[in-house]
Amino acid sequence: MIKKRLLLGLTTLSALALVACGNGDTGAGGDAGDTGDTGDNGSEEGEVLETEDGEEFEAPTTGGAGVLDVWTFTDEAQTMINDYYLEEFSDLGYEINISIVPTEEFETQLDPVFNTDSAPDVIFAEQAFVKKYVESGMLVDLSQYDSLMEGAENTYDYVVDIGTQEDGTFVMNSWQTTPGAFFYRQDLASEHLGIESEDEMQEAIGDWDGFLDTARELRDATDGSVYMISGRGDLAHPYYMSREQGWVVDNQLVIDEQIYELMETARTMVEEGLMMDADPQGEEYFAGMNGDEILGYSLPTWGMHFWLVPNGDQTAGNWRMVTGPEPYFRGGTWIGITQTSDMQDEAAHLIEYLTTSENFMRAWAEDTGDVVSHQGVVDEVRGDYEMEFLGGQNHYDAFAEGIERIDGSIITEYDQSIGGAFDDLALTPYSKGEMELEEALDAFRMEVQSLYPDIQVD
Amino acid sequence: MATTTTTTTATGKQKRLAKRKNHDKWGYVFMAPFFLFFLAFNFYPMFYTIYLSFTDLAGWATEANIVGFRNFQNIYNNMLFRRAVSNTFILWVVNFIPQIVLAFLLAYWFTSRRLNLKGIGFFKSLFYLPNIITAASVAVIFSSLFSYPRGPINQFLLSGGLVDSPVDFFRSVVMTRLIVSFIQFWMWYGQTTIVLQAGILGIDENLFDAARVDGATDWQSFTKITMPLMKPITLYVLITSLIGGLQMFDIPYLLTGGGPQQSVETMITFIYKQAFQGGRNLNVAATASVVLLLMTTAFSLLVFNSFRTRSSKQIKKGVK
Repeated sequence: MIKKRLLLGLTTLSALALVACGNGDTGAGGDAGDTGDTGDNGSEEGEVLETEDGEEFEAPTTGGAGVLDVWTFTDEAQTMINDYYLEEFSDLGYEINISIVPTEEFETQLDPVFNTDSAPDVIFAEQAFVKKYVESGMLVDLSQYDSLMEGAENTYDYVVDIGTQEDGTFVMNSWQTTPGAFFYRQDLASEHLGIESEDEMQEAIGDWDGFLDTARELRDATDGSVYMISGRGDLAHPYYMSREQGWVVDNQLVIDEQIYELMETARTMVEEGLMMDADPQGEEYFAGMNGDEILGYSLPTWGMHFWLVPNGDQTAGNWRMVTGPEPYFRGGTWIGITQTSDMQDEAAHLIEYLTTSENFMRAWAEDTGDVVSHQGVVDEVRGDYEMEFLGGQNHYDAFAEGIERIDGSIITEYDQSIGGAFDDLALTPYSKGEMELEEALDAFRMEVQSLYPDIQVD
Repeated sequence: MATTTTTTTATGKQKRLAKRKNHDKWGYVFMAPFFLFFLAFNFYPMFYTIYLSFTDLAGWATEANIVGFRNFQNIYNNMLFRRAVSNTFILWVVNFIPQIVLAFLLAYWFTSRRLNLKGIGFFKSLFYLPNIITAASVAVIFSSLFSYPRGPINQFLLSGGLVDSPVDFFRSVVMTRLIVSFIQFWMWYGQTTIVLQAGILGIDENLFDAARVDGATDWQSFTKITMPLMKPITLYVLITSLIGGLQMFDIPYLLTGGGPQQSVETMITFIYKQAFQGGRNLNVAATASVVLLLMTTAFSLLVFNSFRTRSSKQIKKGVK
């Protein structure tokens, strides 16, 4: 009897659990489906995959001959193609099949098929891993397309630099530039620091010493209840971009002087209680955008649109932006054509439109506020912006200011892995005082050596 | 379903036998899918992995060159891999010892006639539940439970006055290891309990009755009858848990990705990172997999042999 009851109990419970899980799954699927569904023009019901965080997405597809396959991780691509490109060229005579794969899964999906017949025709790549594909030698040389090259003359130099192989072959281009800035709360600054304008702020934090002094002043004025920045994420990107050399030069790991500076600054700020020490893009990081505990964040163009504005609805209007201690850039998306593509000319046509067409750039800049890669268009439109979120400040103009000073040569194909390892194993533990400098750097070197056995680490 | 009953008359028997011979080949057909899948998805990948461990296939390369035992030398000198091996064992031991102890205790209580507990079915299902939840969800649950500085555990500790300032659990090597081990323990003790209970229920009741007649206490019959007769099933639990433990991946990877300070970097997270991140060193990943296979085999044999020599007699009498 007991056994029977036990069995009954077990089966009901597990059945219940299964039902519960089933419900959860469909719920999540519904959410994720919104972005993915419309993208797949050419495909039937696709296979559904999951990211590490359990978010579902449709497996990327290739549509075979006569279909231009585009693999991307941003739904902006879909808007650009469907609402602009296909509007302008409604009689292409072939289909465009867009697959959107979440960024963290993008490489895992693409790498196994890259350089095979199953590869898509057009790929998008983000700053973190763009060089991996640029340097792979498996993308089409764009210089054979005259009109594209003509258009690319208007593209900002650093954008072209990043899309160019070490041997000078230009293989990927972008429609955007992604300069960064320091965003801060004007209301908190005038209350605690007596700083009344952007110019005064920039003067105060124009270099790292000034930045630290301002942070100390803020701490003293508020008894430590307001932090200068959220955490190391706000320091890392400006510092990375001020390095002399990228992570790897001539197959040798380079730990630049600025990297040491970054580690010291981060540690000082933690020790002296100058920053909140929240994890980048963690719960407290975003919560701080609506609270009164954090004075500012280092964010790029897209960071303002996708992170700050949506999370700062209660603090809207109080934010201002300045260059900060160091001009930098962060992120950006490049587009290229695979050599295995059987529709290279068609792909080039798409890339030419998205990355060089003046009309498209202007429309895109006006509709989305994105800072585009076309110099002429940026100069033309930069005067006309006024952003309520920034108290009427012209963000476009301020961002455009920073573009000229960006150096793209600092980006290497190793950035994603090595940068990630540095943050995990060296910057974070050292800044929190868990490890000493050499110990932390050794752990970092060990990981790099393990990830890239061919790189000389010391 | 392929077998037929054979109780029939002599003449009918011959006919049936003839027919049965014909049916037999369907057995192969029914077995074929398994073997095809096995060959394609187990057998071939295994030997391909072994082959890869002797090559230099990495990154974008599509052609593999044989390089002899170089990969094995390199992996022997790879400090991160060594650390991963020791991490894996630490995590496994810390999770397995409490797990088997608790599982034994629960199995004993659940099967004890004298205690005659109520609601066993309910509790057994309850204890088994963590195993049904997917690892991804478990990792999310625990990372938010222990999150810093305002996770529930921290708030509980703070309000209870147990700590003065919030604890950043996932920045501490010891804490992170403990949490990972605890999750493994929590996910698997229910399963182990059920297996052990099945083992106990398989022991002949007469032995316990006889012991009781002879005046043995509960503890005595547990240590003198249950424990020895449980050796085969304990061996099974030990070996499956060891194999599972050596392949620990999802919880450490999803929880912290191997950090802090590479403290929960296990062999499989190492292999995964080698194969899919950084330089995508398929050769190194394959070599590490082969080493893992050898280690698993060696440890299983070791455990198996140490159990068999001491209790081969009892195994014969034991669970069927």
